Amino acid sequence: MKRIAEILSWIALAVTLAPACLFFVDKLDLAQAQAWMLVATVLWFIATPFWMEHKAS
Amino acid sequence: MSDQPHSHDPVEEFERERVPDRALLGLKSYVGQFAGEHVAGTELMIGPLFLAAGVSAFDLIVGLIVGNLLAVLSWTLFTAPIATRVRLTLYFQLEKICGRKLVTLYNVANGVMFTFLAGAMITVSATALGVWFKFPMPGFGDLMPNSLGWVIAVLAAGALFSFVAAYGYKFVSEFANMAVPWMVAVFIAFGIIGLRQLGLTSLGDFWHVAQTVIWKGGDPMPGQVKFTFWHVMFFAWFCNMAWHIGMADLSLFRYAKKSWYGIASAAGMFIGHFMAWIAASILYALQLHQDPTNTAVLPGPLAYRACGIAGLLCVIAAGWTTANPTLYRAGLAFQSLVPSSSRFRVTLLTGLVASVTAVFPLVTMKLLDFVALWGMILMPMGAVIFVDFWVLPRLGLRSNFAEATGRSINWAAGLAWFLTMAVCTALVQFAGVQIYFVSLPGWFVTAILYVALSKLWQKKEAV
Repeated sequence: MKRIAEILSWIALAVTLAPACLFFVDKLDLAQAQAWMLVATVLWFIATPFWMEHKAS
Repeated sequence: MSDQPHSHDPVEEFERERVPDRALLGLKSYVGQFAGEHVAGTELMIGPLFLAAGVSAFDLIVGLIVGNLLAVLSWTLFTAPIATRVRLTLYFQLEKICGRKLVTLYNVANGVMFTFLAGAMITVSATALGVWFKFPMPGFGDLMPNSLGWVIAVLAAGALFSFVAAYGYKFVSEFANMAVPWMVAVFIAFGIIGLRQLGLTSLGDFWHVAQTVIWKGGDPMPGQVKFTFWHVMFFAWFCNMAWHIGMADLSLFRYAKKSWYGIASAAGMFIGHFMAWIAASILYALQLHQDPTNTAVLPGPLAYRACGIAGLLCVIAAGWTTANPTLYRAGLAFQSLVPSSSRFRVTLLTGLVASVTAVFPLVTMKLLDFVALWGMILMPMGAVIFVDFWVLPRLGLRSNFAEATGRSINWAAGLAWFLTMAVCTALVQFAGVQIYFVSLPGWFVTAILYVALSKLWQKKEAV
């Protein structure tokens, strides 16, 4: 489960960044890029708590 | 920045003892910590303020590279070598040198600066609320609030941040750790999307666009100081001065296995104080490009235009996750005045004061000056620690004078601090030295004064 969550997190991180690159090369318009970034953001914050080490300091 | 302030999650272990070998940390811990802590809400203000200061592309890029390199070297050559030899917190080390009363004064100064900085972070987050609720927000250079909506949003955000800092510090700290990689990705996206919207279609044209569209140089905006290479370099070097040359990070690096781990600060400098500042600056350039009359530096709208709701969430997260430890540290500093007081109440009260300051965008609009002032005020104590550790023993003088003599105040250190601040203030007020540069001569003033006054005091003591 942890492993799957970690993989999903890294995919989410890639999808946070990828729309900006695709917008840069005119493969996505701005609204599409922003929508994908939001989806990736939601995925990151759902998946990451399952595996990231909890440390206060 | 931390800005600035930043690193520096409160570590409450080994407060009054040497860190044992079993508790030492590896390089990776420091790389992660620095990388995370320098992507703060205030980076979104600093980048645009560089542009408002009329900086040119060469001065900004090269100034940031050199200045950040000097900051890394300061951590590596000033802070970490002492930290890994004594392995004590800054406060305990200062207490040994300066005595308890002077440390208390240092705490108050630190607490006040932390409170204002937290206020700036609350301001940054509130600009995201302005996009949602569409109330008027302060324009560029505004020092007073300009709408009831703004006041309510800032106070609401401030109250929430304060309560969480007082009650749920650990929760936000965990959230911050989790949010950092995502925030870094969003900051990179800010830059890429901003560049494309500014007309860049090929990376090969970056320098041309940078010089002619983004950082064109020329006159600064009204009320701003013109920034040259030297301004950028000194700002990048000294914006965390309280932590490296000022030695606040003794507390952090006392856990480092090796002193060269100071080099890990490069992760924070070149992600937060290079990439993030440049990305934020690009967003502001885009705003000016689209509407030259819109000079407002408001991170919320800037981020929203580039990355939509994800951008707004990034602004809120960047402000919140850095305001939280900042308020906590301010609370700790003030609590040290009355140790029996409740940390919850002190932190809450500190947060409410920070929220009130956040209503007035004075600190936020003058963030570059504020950060330089912070460094100037706290730097002298770093010079005292440096001289006390490396120089005094070589001159046959006693280190840790307060501890050795049981004094509650070491006047050699106290006077060196106060006189340095007086000299620096005089240089800024009457000699035309800008505040961004004054801390460099100030360090030498403190060092010379501390040696001379120590000779005097210790001789008197011997008699």
